[in-house]
Amino acid sequence: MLKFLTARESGIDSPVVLRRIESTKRAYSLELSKHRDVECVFYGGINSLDIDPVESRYLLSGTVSGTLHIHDLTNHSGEVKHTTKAVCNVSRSNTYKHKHSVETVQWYPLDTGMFLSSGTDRTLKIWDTNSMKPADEYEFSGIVYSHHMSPVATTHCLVAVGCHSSTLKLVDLKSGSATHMLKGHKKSILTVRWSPKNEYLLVSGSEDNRVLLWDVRSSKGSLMSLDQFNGQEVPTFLSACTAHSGNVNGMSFTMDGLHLVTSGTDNRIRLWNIETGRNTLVNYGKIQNETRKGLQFAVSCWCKSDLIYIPDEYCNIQVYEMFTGRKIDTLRGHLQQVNCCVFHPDYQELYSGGNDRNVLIWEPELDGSYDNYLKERSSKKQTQSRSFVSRIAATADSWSSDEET
Amino acid sequence: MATETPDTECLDHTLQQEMQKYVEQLTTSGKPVLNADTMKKFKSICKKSDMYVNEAYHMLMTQLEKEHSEIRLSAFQMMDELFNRSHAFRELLLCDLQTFLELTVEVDFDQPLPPPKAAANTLKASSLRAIQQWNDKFGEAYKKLSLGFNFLQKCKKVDFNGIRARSEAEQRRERERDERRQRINKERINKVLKEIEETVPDIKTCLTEVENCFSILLPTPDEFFLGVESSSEPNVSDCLRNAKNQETCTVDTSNCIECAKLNSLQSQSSTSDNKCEKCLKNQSNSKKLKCTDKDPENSSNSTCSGNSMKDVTECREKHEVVEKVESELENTEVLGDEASVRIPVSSNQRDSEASVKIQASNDKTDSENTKKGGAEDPNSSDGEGSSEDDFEEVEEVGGFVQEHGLRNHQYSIAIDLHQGPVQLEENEDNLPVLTTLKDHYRLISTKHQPSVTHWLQVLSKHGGKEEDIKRIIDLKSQLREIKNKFYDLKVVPLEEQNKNSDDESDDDFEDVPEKEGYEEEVPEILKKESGQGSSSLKKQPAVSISKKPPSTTSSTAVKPSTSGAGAKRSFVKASWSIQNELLEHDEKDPTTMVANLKRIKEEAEGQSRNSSSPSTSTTTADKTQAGAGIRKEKLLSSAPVISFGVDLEHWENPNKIEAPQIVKYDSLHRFWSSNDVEHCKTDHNNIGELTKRTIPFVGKFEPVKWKCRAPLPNGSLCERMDRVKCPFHGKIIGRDEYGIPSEPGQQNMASTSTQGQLEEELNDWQDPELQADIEGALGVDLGSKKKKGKGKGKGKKSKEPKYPNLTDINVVENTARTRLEKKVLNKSAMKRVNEVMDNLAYKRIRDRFGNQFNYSLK
Repeated sequence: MLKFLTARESGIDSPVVLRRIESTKRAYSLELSKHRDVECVFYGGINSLDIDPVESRYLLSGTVSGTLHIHDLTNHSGEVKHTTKAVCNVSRSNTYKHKHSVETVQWYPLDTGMFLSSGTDRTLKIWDTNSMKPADEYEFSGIVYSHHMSPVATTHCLVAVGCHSSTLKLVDLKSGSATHMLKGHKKSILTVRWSPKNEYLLVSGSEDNRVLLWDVRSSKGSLMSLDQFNGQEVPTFLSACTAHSGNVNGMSFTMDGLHLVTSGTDNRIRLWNIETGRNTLVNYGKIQNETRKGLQFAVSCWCKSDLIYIPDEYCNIQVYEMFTGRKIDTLRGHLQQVNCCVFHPDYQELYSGGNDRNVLIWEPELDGSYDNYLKERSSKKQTQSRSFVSRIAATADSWSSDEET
Repeated sequence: MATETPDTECLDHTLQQEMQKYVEQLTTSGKPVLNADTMKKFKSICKKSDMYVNEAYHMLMTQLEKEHSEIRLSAFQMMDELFNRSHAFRELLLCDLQTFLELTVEVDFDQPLPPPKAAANTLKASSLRAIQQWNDKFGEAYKKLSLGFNFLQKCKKVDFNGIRARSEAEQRRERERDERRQRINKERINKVLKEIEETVPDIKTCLTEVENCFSILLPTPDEFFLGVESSSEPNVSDCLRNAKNQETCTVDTSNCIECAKLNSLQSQSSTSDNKCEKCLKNQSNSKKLKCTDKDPENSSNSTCSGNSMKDVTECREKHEVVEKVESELENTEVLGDEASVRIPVSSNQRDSEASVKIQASNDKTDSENTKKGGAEDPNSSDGEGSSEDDFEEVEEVGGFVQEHGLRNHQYSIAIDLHQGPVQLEENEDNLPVLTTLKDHYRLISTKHQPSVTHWLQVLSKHGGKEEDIKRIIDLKSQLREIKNKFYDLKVVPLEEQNKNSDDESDDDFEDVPEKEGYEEEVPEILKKESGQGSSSLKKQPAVSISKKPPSTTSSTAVKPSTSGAGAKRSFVKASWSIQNELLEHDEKDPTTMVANLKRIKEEAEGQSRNSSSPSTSTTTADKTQAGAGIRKEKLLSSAPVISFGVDLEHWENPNKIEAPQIVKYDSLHRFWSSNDVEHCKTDHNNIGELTKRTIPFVGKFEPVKWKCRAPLPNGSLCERMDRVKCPFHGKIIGRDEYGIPSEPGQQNMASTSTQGQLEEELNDWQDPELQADIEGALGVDLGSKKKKGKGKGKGKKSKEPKYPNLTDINVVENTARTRLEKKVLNKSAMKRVNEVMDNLAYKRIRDRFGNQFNYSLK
């Protein structure tokens, strides 16, 4: 690290190098945070999480019980042990809350004053953060599985909505109406994503096993359908041009927008090259994934080799190296199935929410140096030492002496 | 055991195997608690290194996954132990917390806990409690633990506060109970101590008074009771020793033994008295008898004191001082010439006096203490100079002998001392003493001793101080000693003495002619003795000398008089008398003393009748009469009591029973009737009704006080209260608090018997090997494996004998449902029902479509 710092100082390396090295190091070594946790204000499993893209400070969460919560992630207390407090809530008693479970939440890409949520009550709500009231509300004919707003759009203000119908709808927030209907899927659409680089490029994954690329400017249909076999040797029993052999329930772009990661109920992850629309054929092995609704997994950013954090059926989060398919780690901590996880781009932290009503913070492991630092400080500051002393005491072995042989 | 150091980084295979063994032992024990010793060994291995902890974790996890709640429970308990100790184990377990919770707390409803249910419930409850305790202890340090705890609390709605509160409340209650118990104990002890402080002086004074009373009554009480303890054995040995020492005495040895025997039976006869007399005389020659009688403290001459003690106890009833006329030292020849002097003594004071006298004279004699040295030479005649211990005494009493009218030192005095319980007659002199003694005795036995016992109980039960307990124990033993003393002292009450003396006079009067018939045959000594006896009676009317009827023919003549005079306090006189007739009504009741006495008397009489020469006709007549009475009494005692009736009225002549007569009125008028109304009719059948008796046998109803208490599957015990046999669990046997039979033999009695039958049944026609062959050929299970048990390796059946302690979860429960199913879904039953239904359907069809061609075919 010091070497990189000096290199950075002397200008040998470009500024990116240090950042990349450091963030890679951190992203690879996530573990359950010992000191920080998220205040548990949830009354049901957490279905969706989002970190605001402006400050990376507020964590938005939507739960099965239809409530929405915003946690302030920054620690202003000065204490090491910190519980991130919920700053805003749409609680169960709130009249505006979703009637049924919230499936997707997203911050407005340019501002924390607004966020969107959609759920199984067939509505998409646009919320005013300051008043915690819905500014607008759109109703759909079916369950809204997923919606997404382009993070980079400057010319349009469209929300792509995938719901329990084969048509993908585009809601224009400016006019307050559904402007487009994109037809191409045969079954309900479980997940939609805008490209983080191309403001017109939209991807949708559906129960008909296909992933379609759309250019919203084009009126003739989808740009292409991603084919898991890259156009070769199609087995007869599978329909052509499928991305998965099961429902496509999760998608995520890499930060540079060049690659797309999809997951399906065929227990596979696939990595697609968006430029060519070809399957990169990286083998990640089998990841148990039976969920019937959208699955939100996270992809790291700013790393030398990016990572995929994907929840599996067994309450764990699997960590894969994106381009090699190598399994890096398994993050264990949840006690029931994990529904969503989101990567904090600045701190290389992972936030995950599951059916056990926990939002867990996974932060880089710091080989105890941080612990030691904290210990020293705590020994100086007697006021706060107690918890650490007891913690250290608790981790010690306590074999009783009568077990001597 | 430890073959490697903790820092070696490889596992020891043997240790690993040992661990595996322990894990298996502990988890398949089926017990609700772990065996502490095995667990300790296991922990000591785990302690060596984290590698072993790791190994242990995997072993335990494997066990925890077994589909048997008892295994899981034990495994969980082991995990709990390790979790509380090892950091590495905690890390490992928390890594798999999700799995752990699924396996123990049933968080996943798709994976319920396996049977048996009782163990599953225990497992769940105890693991929840453990998790709560872990969280309290380690939650700070282990994030995942607190996460899991919160998860259980929030999502699974486990009421940890309730658990904690419950356990805390339990602890508090326990503590309070303990405190209360301790307080009560303390109070009790204090109360008892106070009571002791108050009462012990009383008891002490009481004891002292009793001691004083004894010392008044019996001046040398210690010797008495020592003597009683060593009753007859020394006598025998002495006699034998004498026999050895003195060849001339050998003829008497048998008699001596006999005498000893009789003494041990506490029965005396005059003949044996004679023999004893002889041998004691020998004794008196061979050793000094009374050297230490004066002062009981003089124990320096231990042998002598022992002898004297014995002798003093022997001189209970009769002292025969035989003066030896001859001056020769060879005393063996003097048997014929000796003069027997009977000095009946009424009290023990007299005894001691007499013994003093005898001692004095004895010291004068030159008969020497041969016994003391254990020397063989029978007579060492230089007594005056050579007796070491008693030298001064001899000098001292030199003149004393003469004062007692003995001419010189060459008198040999034989003292016959008879053994038996110390007996004391009540008279005017000692009456007050005896009364106080009795009062005190009553006080001790009714008040002091129970209270002391009670104190002792309280103190020992509630943890009193040691010295207190010791003190009380001392007190108790003192009281017991006193009581025993009193027991040993037979006090003849005044009234009884009088009664006895009345009897005696009767006896004497009656027996005199009987005796006269045999007068000639009485030897001279005996004659003299009897004369002496009568004189003694004259002197001391209150004396009561117990004599057993003689067992040898030579002394038959003595019998009547002695048996008359010798009626013991407890013996009513031996022959029939008017008095006995007066007591007849008492004798019928076998519980009264009189009846018992009569029985004893009967026996005694029977003996005397057998042994003695033909007795007079009067006595035999009496005896037969008495025998008839006895028989009648016996019969009466067993006869039932019934109410008087017609059959009893005509008991002697049952033919005379008349049937009841029925008067028949010819006229039907209310008032007017003819004169000859005596037209009677007898019904002979009615005789039977009259004579018939109903004897109801109604046993006393005794409510059942026990329960079956066989363990039920829900963990409780069978509550049925049957007298002998529970309809569900068979014969009712003793069981402990868990329902396990207290005697293991009984446990399997029923089951083994049925099994044995089964096996026999099978063995009758089944050859297991042949059957196995057939099975192998057919590939069908014909049931031979059931018996073989070990089966073919992997099946569950091979497991059951492996872990006999576990509850068998594969057993099909014999529930009402299964039994009904067996009956209802029986093949034949189904067939029958189907047949009926088919018939019904057919009938219906025939009724409807019977006229149609195709239906009518059927």
